[in-house]
Amino acid sequence: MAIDARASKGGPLDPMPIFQDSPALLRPFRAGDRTACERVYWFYVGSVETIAWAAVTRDAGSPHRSQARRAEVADLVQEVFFKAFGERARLGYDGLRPYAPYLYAIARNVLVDWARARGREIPTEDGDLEAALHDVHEPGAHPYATPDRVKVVERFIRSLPDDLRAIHEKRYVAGLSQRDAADALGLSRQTVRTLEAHLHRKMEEALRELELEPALVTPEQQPAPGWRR
Amino acid sequence: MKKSTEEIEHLLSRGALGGPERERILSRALAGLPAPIPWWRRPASWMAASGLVAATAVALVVALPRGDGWTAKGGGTPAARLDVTCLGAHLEACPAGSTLAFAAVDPSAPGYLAAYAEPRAGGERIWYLSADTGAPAVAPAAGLQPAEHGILLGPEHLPGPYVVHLFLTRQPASKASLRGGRPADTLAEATFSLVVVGR
Repeated sequence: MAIDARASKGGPLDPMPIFQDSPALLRPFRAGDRTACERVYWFYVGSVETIAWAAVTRDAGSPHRSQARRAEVADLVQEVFFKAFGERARLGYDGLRPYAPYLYAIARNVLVDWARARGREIPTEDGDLEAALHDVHEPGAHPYATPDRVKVVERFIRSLPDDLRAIHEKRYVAGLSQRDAADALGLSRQTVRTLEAHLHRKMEEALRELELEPALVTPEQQPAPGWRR
Repeated sequence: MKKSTEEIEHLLSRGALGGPERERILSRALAGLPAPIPWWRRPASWMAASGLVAATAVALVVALPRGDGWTAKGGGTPAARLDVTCLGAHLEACPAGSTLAFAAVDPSAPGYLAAYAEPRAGGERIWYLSADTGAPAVAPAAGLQPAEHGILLGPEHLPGPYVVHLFLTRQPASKASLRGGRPADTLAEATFSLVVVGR
């Protein structure tokens, strides 16, 4: 199944309503067919992720996309789709209205519950969180690590050979599934897996080099506590 | 110090979820879906009677009744759709000692099934079906065509998530050809998420 990368990344509210474009999808989706649900998931996951990030970073009062916040976003996205794929939500969708607002209403409820559990509030007005979908950001526009690490990662990404750069683009920037990445690149999934594993190893090596740098400092040169490179 | 997969992925995706994490989320989100278990998928007396051999991924010769109770999933191709199921449970939580059953749905050409699993956490590939150990033949026919071989989840399956790769090929696919990726004569292929849990 080839998925439109733009839809997968988020962006427009409902660029091509999935059930209007593929009416045959509605019946298996309502019946809980996994393949149908997978299609819906890959079509909307980018948008739901964007909304979840908007809620989490607003709540934190900081745009920083730390690993902990990323895990929180992953939990929220999972909860949204878990609810959306629940029998009540599936059967509650009539297929006549666009699906995106229906899904975003589920997302809003999940986010409201999440915020309440933290003793916080998030805007609940229709369209407030969805407004984040109209924001266009370049990859890496949000801080996601310490500056020295960001420097290493960006340098690493820029230095990638074509094959690894293509894998990085499809899997980590577009956020495609392994299957869709393989289709998009005209590769077998085994090749994608192999290249992805290679990409991980090289990234780890690049980080290790960063961590080894202080070891080059002689004992006499050891920085005082609180010193930062 | 070795970096965790999560940390590497976090950096590679520059703080976004990225494809690998989205795949894991999907797998968990789908866990709540109904998984109808047709009568022939339920734990049956044949499991006890077939003399299951507790060894490494031992192929079971089971007389799976033909029927259309499977819910087709996985990659669709003109030649067939492929399916795998954990008998008596779900792929998302398949207890050690369970049996995996394989099938082609509506195959339009004769072929042979091949399958293996890879631990998501890394590790040795676990071979299920291949020309080396027995690749079940599939005849072109409408509806579900279950393989005559099932696979017992033996001790080589540590609890955890796996990716199961299933192929339908024109000729029985050897391990060597599968190591090279997708066999050249592949008619259909699909991957499935499998999570092995303790009994």
